Amino acid sequence: MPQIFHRSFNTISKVSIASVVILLIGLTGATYVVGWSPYVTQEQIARVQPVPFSHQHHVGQLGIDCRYCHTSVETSAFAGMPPTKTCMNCHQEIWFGSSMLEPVRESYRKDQSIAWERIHNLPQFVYFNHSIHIHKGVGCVSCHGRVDQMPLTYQEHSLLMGWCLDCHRDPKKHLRPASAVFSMTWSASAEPSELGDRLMKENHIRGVEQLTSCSTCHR
Amino acid sequence: MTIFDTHWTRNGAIALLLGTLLSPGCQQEMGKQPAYRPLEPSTFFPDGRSARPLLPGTVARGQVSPQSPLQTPWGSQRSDPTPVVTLVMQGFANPLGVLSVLPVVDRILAVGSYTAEFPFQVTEAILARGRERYDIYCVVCHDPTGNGDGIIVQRGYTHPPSYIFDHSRGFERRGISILLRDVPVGYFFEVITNGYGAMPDYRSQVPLRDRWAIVAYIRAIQLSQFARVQSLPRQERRRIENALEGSR
Ligand code: HEC
Ligand code: HEC
Ligand code: HEC
Ligand code: HEC
Ligand code: HEC
Ligand code: HEC
Repeated sequence: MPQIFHRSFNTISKVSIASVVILLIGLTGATYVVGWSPYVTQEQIARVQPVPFSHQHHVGQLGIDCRYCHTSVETSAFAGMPPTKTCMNCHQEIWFGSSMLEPVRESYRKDQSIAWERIHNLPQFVYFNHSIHIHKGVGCVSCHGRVDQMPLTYQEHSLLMGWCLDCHRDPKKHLRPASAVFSMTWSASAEPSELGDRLMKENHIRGVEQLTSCSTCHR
Repeated sequence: MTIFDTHWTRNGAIALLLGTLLSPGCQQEMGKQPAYRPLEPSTFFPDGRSARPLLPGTVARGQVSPQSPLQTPWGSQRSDPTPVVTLVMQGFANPLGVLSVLPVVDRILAVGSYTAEFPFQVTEAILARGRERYDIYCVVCHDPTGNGDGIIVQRGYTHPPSYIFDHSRGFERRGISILLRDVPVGYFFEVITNGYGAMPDYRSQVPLRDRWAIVAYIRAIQLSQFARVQSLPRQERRRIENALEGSR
């Protein structure tokens, strides 16, 4: 039987095998890079909202407590979103003529909710609960970043499983006293170094096995 | 021998390639389930809300009974307002009856119809809770000292009366002149629950027990301005004396 392929095809076939392998590795790598990129996780991307509500203004400058608006954050899984009535508590007088606030007044007049764009959005097969984190001393700022410096709200962290686990494996350095949970500026560096150990004990933080067990978050 | 002459290898490679390419794109059905998440919009209900308002008359699980002293600003002699309302209605139906209603109306307006008692024992823990809640919901207007110079007021909101030095505007409107520090606690509860004038109501933001805790704390602010050193327990007195000595 005569040779069908020229000798050089030996090299070509080797090169193509190698390049398929390299391509696959590259694609897998690219998948992760893309999959964990802000484009997919939506972190650091500010959303356009029906009203340009600014935490920087309300929290940073006016010093309003998170719980004034996110009333259920201490007691339930869901942090709670302020109904229009909460905005009207102040805006029935403050900036009442402003056109920027017209959607708020319209919503109040017509009894229709303001449709805020959701920013954080875990897949529904994940169970997350605010109240336990608040009660065990994890501050808002540890997960949401410096909200008081956001003119428009964005997601600070990826919210990927690895991010949750990073903390669940070693929550000690993220714990703070109950009085500092809502503070955006508290820092552990001014505290005695054994604070973390003390809070771990006082708050009865469970072991790594339980906090990283799949059924803690996938139930 | 060639590597591309079996269909199996080629198809396999293509499937693997496509699979890897597509995998980041797919969030499985498990990620978006038909159940509503809190406050998610709905296409089913005409108002677009998945969180449904309660139907009138719904009794929520664990809801405090309307007869509970937690719920009412009124004192025991008028715990239920319905008889008064009925009387007033009768009064309109029967002009002579108005006369019989007058003393009752007077009682409604009178300071004494508000309860002067807390529905539960006020402890230090309650005061601490009241302080925390006051700092969340009231401080922005009434300021930490209760004088009404909060940040929102500085930005142009109506100036509230001082809890310590001013008269109650609500009672003034009914022709009764009384300092806010002499007003019965039930009145504060009512103002938090229903608002008054430019003061918004906090019915939905502050649960019942917290409202009473806030009232207890306001009382503490008021008392603190007129407390005499002699009235303090010995330990506290010593602390103040030491502090004074230290500053000298
Ligand atoms: C005056 C009311 C108000 C206060 C006070 C307030 N927020 Fe908000 N918050 C809102 C509103 C309205 C939105 C929705 C619009 C937006 O996303 O900016 C929101 C959105 C958010 C979101 C994003 C929710 C999402 O869609 O995923 C986070 C996180 C958040 N707030 C955290 C905080 C924290 C932390 C504090 C305290 C430091 C705080 N907020 C104080 C009104 C408030
Ligand atoms: C506790 C009082 C208070 C509440 C509650 C409140 N605001 Fe404001 N807001 C203010 C004040 C005061 C200003 C103006 C600040 C100034 O004059 O510098 C303001 C300004 C604004 C502005 C002007 C734009 C800017 O510069 O940020 C918008 C928009 C706004 N608020 C939206 C909202 C919305 C939406 C809500 C409800 C979620 C809300 N506010 C709740 C007090 C409040
Ligand atoms: C342990 C991390 C963590 C802490 C601490 C935390 N959050 Fe969140 N927050 C999240 C995650 C994760 C979500 C997205 C939840 C979802 O998509 O179901 C979220 C969502 C929110 C939302 C949107 C509504 C909701 O519940 O889905 C608001 C508002 C919010 N957080 C406010 C706060 C405030 C205020 C605090 C501090 C009192 C706080 N968060 C503390 C992780 C945290
Ligand atoms: C900054 C630290 C931190 C981050 C980030 C964090 N957690 Fe936690 N989480 C904790 C701590 C601390 C506890 C309390 C542990 C205990 O009670 O023993 C906790 C408890 C929980 C619990 C309750 C466990 C139970 O048995 O009730 C759930 C569920 C949970 N976390 C889910 C999540 C999810 C999902 C994420 C990511 C979206 C996340 N957490 C991110 C610190 C964190
Ligand atoms: C601390 C909470 C937590 C624990 C513990 C946890 N997960 Fe997750 N898991 C998450 C979160 C959050 C996500 C969603 C990430 C995202 O946004 O895609 C997730 C996603 C996943 C996914 C889907 C990945 C994808 O790309 O869609 C799988 C599979 C998974 N987890 C398996 C596990 C297994 C197996 C375990 C136990 C070994 C486990 N998880 C433990 C929080 C947790
Ligand atoms: C948005 C600003 C604002 C906030 C927040 C606020 N108030 Fe007021 N409050 C007022 C104003 C303005 C008045 C005066 C009303 C008037 O004269 O029309 C007032 C008056 C009062 C009065 C006196 C009524 C009278 O008869 O004179 C009481 C008591 C009171 N507030 C209690 C509270 C408590 C308790 C809270 C917290 C739960 C609170 N307020 C939060 C603005 C506020």
